[in-house]
Amino acid sequence: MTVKVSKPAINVREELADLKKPTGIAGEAMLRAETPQEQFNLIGAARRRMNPNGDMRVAQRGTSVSLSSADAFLVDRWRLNNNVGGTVTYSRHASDHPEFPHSIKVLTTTADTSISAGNYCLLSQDFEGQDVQHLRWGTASAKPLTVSFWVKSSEPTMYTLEIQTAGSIEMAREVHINSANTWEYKTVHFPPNTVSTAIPNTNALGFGLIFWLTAGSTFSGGATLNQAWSNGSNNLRAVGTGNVQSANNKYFEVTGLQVEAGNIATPFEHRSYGEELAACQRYFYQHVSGASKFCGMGEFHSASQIDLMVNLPVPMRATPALIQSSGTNYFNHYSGGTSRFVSAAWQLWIVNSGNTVVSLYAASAQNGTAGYAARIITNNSLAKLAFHAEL
Amino acid sequence: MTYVINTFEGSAVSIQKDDNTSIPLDPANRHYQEVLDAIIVEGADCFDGDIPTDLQAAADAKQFAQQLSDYKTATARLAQYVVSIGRTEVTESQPTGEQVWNEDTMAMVDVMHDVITVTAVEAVEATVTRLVYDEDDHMAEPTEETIENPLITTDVAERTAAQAVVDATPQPVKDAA
Repeated sequence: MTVKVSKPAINVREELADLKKPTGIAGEAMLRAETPQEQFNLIGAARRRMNPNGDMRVAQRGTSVSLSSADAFLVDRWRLNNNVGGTVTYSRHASDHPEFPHSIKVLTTTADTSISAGNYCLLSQDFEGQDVQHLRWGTASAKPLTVSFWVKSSEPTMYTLEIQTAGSIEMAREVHINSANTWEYKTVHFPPNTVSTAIPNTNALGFGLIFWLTAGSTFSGGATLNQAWSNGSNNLRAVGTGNVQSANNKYFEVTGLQVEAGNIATPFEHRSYGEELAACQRYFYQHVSGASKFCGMGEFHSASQIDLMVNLPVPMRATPALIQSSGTNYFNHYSGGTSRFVSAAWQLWIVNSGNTVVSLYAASAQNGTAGYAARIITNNSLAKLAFHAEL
Repeated sequence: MTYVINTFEGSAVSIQKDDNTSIPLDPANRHYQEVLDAIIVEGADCFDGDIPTDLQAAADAKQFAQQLSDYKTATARLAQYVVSIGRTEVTESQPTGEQVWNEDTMAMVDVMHDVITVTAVEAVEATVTRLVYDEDDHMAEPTEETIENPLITTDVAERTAAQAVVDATPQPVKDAA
């Protein structure tokens, strides 16, 4: 007996075409990955950002400072070093970027049209050696580094982004501004650094990330920009760099900066303000600023010397320096039922092993009694106590 | 900038800067390093009172390390070939790893071959010619100008700077290199 079976017709050509799914380049890379670790890296999962405060949110010291032949930390972890005679305003700016409400803005308020050979204006962030060990720089296993950021400038020009290791091994990259007054997203790649000596696994400098915004001929007079890891000549470090200070109102603005291992720039890793602040407080901690702030409990070592203990919120990188604004009647002590003034400058005495507790003393407090405890309160809007352990 | 030592019950505990920054005696602190830099550059002028012995010793050690590093960089630069002269090839007779029996000495001896240990580099042209345009007359034909090769100019400048560093380096630093 013959049984007749009917089946719908199949178009073999169409079936094969269906197998060619539109995976895209990223999808192809994911399919080709040979290990879960490779896939993990491709996705850019987990904590990729090595630098704190890339979104420029944290600014414990204030939000604006004018600099002429001077340098300052303002936005946490970011230092502007301007040895040019002109004046720039370094500020944490209310940005108009759609993702980042804050940026760093360097605005020229008094131009310097005759930049001398040794002049420079640098915006930089330094990294501890122990935080960059996974890059394995200075070894045969060295890994590449990628820096991504948003940048805006008053004119189409070129700035230089350089990395300088502790041993003065440098490499620079060009950052081209294509359009004036427009946010542009940049990714800058640095190949594995096998040239430097191994980065010390300590709290000392590992490397610095440096934007050159102005560069005199000492740093830019060479033939071509140093785009290979080397202990090269100074005059190759910023060849072709524009000058943000050549005219009033020229500016450089940057935000959303992420430094990460590898060759791929992943989306900016947003973190909570508290987490970002704590990361910054390893290097700078503003304890009190302004009037009527509680500084902590102290005690009278003698009738005129008062001691104060300050607990730091996170272990600081190194023994911090005490930065203060003190003067006549800037601080009160409440002790033995009375309130009196502390007018002398505070002095750093000693810290604990983990850099989490600091003891200060002031040598001329009014009318104390040895052994009495005291509360210390600020009594002037300018009073300030801060701790500084930047690289 | 003026500094003064803070003492507590007879011991130095920190350094006070004239803006009231209180600086720890910790080499890892950047302000402490700035104090050492001031001592190196300004000497006793930057201190109110005598510079403590251990602080002066730390400043001397830092200066010595800086000079040593600069000296090594400068000597390495001077060791590079002069671009206007070039570099001659250097060969060296080295064992191949094979050995043969020498009947005269009755012993195994290395087979040798010549290996180039330094490759030759030709001298660059002493001069180069460039076109110079008249900024005031854009229609004018450019004129030729012969100048020293910029590679030689840069090489000479860098060698001069390196030699100056070597000349200024104290003998004890050179001896330590």
